[in-house]
Amino acid sequence: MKELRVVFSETPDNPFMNLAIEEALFISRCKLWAPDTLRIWRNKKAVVIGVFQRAEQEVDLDYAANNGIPIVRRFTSGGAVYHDLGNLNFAISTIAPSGKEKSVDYLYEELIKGVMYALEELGFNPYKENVNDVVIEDRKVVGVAGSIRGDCVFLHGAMLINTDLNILSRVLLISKKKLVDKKVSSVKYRVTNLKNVKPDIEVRDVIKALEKGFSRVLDANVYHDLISPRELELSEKLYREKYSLAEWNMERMKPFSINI
Amino acid sequence: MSREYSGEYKARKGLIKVKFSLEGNIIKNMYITGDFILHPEETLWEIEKSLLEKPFDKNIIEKIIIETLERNKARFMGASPEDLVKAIIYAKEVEKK
Repeated sequence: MKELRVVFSETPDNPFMNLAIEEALFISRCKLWAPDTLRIWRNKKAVVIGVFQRAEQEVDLDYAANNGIPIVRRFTSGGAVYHDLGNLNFAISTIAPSGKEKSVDYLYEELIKGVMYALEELGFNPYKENVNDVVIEDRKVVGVAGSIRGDCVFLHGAMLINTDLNILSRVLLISKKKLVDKKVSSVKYRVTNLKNVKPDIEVRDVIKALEKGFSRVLDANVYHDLISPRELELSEKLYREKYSLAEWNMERMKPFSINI
Repeated sequence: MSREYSGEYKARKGLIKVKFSLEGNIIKNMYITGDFILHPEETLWEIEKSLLEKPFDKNIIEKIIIETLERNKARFMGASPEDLVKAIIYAKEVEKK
């Protein structure tokens, strides 16, 4: 049976490094340095925007600055999210069995099932909406985003367990067009925490459920591991040359690869 | 003299925001942002580049966008190339009113 490596590498006080590790683990899988890898991690406080977004359009910059909320841009598309310790992030890197022609479908039709299985395992009744939202009782609890490099695929997501939704709705600017489309007056009424649906939920159970969910979708056995020295070195390089730069985070710079 | 235009269009998945300038009828700047999904990501910058110095014409814009997507084997998810065309075309129409 295949193996699924699970890594809990995180730098909650440094969201820039956290996003550098995120890309490093994907590159590591694509370069065959590592087997399929599931990373579970958190940020203490951050807004993470999509690669096609410009910070000033998505974030109340004054509010973010006054409240010490850094803004980081990830390498995947999709929308802005707010992270605090009540939000659990997961990232999975694998090779699409369907080959590179179908790798995009594999991301949003197959790999995403890892999250659905995890939520079912926890007793929820999740369903997928609009390509990449996972919804429970009409409210979004997980948003995922992905990337492909040939047949090497990456999917990550943010799971709201007990996030401060007041800060979330203050710091993220949501276009009126989007709210009208979703028939709500504020993002607060569109998302929810797993704790609001199931107050006794524990983070450790969510982690176990994610491991189980992705091991099921990949048909693999879980083992726990540390980030390798080579992956850490790459993370630090990505941090220095990309994720710590204001041009990257604030100016919608074209994605670029770094020399390894 | 160039004129600036901007607008946004809601696709099934994602909001496509555009900002561009025209000198006469020629596209001089093109800046596309938003929370839509496109793989591979670099394609967006290719699209912006391919539209520069081209006439602002729906058919031409549509052709360039589709060709750039094909060349990069790129795909939107939950949005279509036509949605991006609409975002661009509507931005100018709104401005006219």
